[in-house]
Amino acid sequence: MSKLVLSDLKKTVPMGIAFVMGIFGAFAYFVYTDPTDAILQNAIVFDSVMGSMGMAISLGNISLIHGKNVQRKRKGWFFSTLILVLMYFSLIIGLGAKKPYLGQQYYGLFDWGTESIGYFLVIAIMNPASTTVMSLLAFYIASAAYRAFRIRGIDSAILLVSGALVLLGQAPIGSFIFGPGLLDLKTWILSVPNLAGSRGCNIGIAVGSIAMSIRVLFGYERKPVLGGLE
Amino acid sequence: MSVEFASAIGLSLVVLCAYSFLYKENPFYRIMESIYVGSGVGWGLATSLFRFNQTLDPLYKNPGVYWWYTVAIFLGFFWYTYWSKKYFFLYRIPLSYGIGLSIGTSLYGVVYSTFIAQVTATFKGMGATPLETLNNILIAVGTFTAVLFFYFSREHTGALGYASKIGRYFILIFLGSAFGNTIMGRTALVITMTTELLKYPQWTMIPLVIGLFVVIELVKKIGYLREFSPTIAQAFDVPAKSEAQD
Amino acid sequence: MAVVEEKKVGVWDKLAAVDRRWIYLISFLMIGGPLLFPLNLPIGVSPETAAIFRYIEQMPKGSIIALSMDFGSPLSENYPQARSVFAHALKIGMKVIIMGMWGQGATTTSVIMIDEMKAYAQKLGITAITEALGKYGERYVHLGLIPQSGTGVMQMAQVGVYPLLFPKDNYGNALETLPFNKAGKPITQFKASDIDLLVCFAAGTPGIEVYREYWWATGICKNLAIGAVGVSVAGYYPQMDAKIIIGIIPSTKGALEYDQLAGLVGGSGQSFATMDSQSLQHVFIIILLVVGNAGTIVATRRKRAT
Repeated sequence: MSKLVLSDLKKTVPMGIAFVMGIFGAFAYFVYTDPTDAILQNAIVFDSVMGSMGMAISLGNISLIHGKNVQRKRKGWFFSTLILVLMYFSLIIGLGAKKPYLGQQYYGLFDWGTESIGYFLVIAIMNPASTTVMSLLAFYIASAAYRAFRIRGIDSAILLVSGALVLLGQAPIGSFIFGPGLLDLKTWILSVPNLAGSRGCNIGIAVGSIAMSIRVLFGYERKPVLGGLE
Repeated sequence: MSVEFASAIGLSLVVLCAYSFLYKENPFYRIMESIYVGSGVGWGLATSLFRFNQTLDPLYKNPGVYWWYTVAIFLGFFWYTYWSKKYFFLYRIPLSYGIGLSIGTSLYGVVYSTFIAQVTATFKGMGATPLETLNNILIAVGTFTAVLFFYFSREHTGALGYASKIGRYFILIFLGSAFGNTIMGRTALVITMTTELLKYPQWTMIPLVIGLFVVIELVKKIGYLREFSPTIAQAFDVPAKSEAQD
Repeated sequence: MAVVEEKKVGVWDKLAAVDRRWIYLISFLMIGGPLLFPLNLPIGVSPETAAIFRYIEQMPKGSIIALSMDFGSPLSENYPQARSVFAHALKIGMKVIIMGMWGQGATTTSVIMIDEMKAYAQKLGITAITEALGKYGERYVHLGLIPQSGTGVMQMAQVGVYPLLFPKDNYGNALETLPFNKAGKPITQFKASDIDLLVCFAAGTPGIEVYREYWWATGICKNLAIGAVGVSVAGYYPQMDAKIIIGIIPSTKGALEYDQLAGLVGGSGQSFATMDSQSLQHVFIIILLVVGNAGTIVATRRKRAT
């Protein structure tokens, strides 16, 4: 072992933990025995409890970043204030609402009678906002289809033609105009050439992830285990 | 006013504020965005706390047997040393445990389901009909050449060059299909939100919000907004007086 | 005095300079129009959706179908799919377990789904579903969120730990008090192998890959199906070909196809008019692609000519 590894326990201990847990986890799956499985189950539960303890990191990070914005009155500090106020407000509301809330008996930790506000937050704000922001992409794609997607060679031609055929095939109007053959063509494109391309990508990704996993376990890639800092 | 009615109005306002971004970036969109981000994080943390409390049920019921939960809780506090320069190394302990265990336990699944099963399924042999046989050949050739496309240990010249080119075409068909399906998916979301907006009382907000934007644009043109409040004028991108005169 | 030549602005130049907001507005009209004035275009059924339907149809009565609600809000693409499969499963006498790895989908959204299904079945007079929904704990059970998602799924694969993972169901009932069983075997002794079909409605991660790696790969439960969002549909075909998953319900369209197959109009909560909107929007995008590329060809030729 090199001197660097021996002398720097702050790096070698985490790498050692990752190595031991990784090898044990893989061994328990590849060579199944009852004792190793029992230990693995406990190790998994240990990980889930320990991992859950980090749930407040997002709260801390947002408070730090947006708190600084508000403190220094940077551009957009009003919106940062809004984020912080809503964050703590919805946290307090979410901790309550122990009464039946849409049929759930135990939604919150305490009984503050805040279920109506909680209902409003979920149904009126969080659900529609997330869906609507994702749906904006549909309009951007339409705009990009007009302004950006150009057939400049065989590669882009294949991409756009296959995309257009799948697009037409997925909508009822395609088979209405061109007949049921278009639906069959769409199914063929998805089940044969698309399958082959997708599978090739998946196999490549699988080989890459196996290689990367082994590199991380054996310490050749240290950044994931050392938290991004070496 | 019932909470359902208020939620319907709130939903409609949130959706219209979000779609107002398509017209141009405006403070209403940013307010909606801030409210969404803030409430999402806070609410998510509240439910996580509740679920975590449920996870500790065995410890509450049987502390003698499940005493090691307390060790996990203690080590879990090390996540928060992320913000400390001096004790940052402690953050690596729960991180390395989690990464190591998840790599180890998922390795079997990845190897078997994503690699072995896929390779096995690629080479099927003759089909029941000529078309099926042709499809099987295409799948085998396409998969093999697509994998070759990702082989970078040698330059893509000669036979490897031709093979990787064919593989590239198959990958492009995959990407084209993904493009078509993505449009379908995102359009479905727009349809869902539009369907929601067309219900009562949500649709009553549509003329109100459109009217509000029309009024704002008119007021901006008139130039009154600058005199009324420079802050609001700046928020709606009304240029300063000297720029407007130019 | 210099003479300024006025450049003739042709149709293609005007088209190239179109403000993108007009494209957004026309898209809105393409989507909103059919919702107000439906075109009633016939919907075809894709083989991937039919595969799941046929599989459920051939399962013996009383089989256990688990719905993994791995998505967020009832406004997502997966919700109509889940509703459709839930309605069909209850209608033909299957037993259903509702659970999930995503917080909102497994809890609040599932409760909304059950409540909406009660109203739907009552409104349309589908007695099979109404009866089934009246027997909570016997015909269907709502377990709620799987603790620690992937970790919990892993535990479910290996050992019968349902009482540990789900000491209470989503409504606060102790698991031991529920009569839910499979041929006499109570739910407290269930393992993943007792589930005859798992349908995962996944909007992202964690999703079907967790079940694939911990259930399918270990052989504990080989019957998986997926309700996928549009973005990820194309990537699931290799899994279907490798017989990892039985079929795919693609986006909201798949939910409507499933409704059609199951004979449950509105089972997904969506009307067929939404497919008309989808059709017009798809045609509009094809037109945009064609016009955009035609404009580029005209501009290139003009450049070459000058």
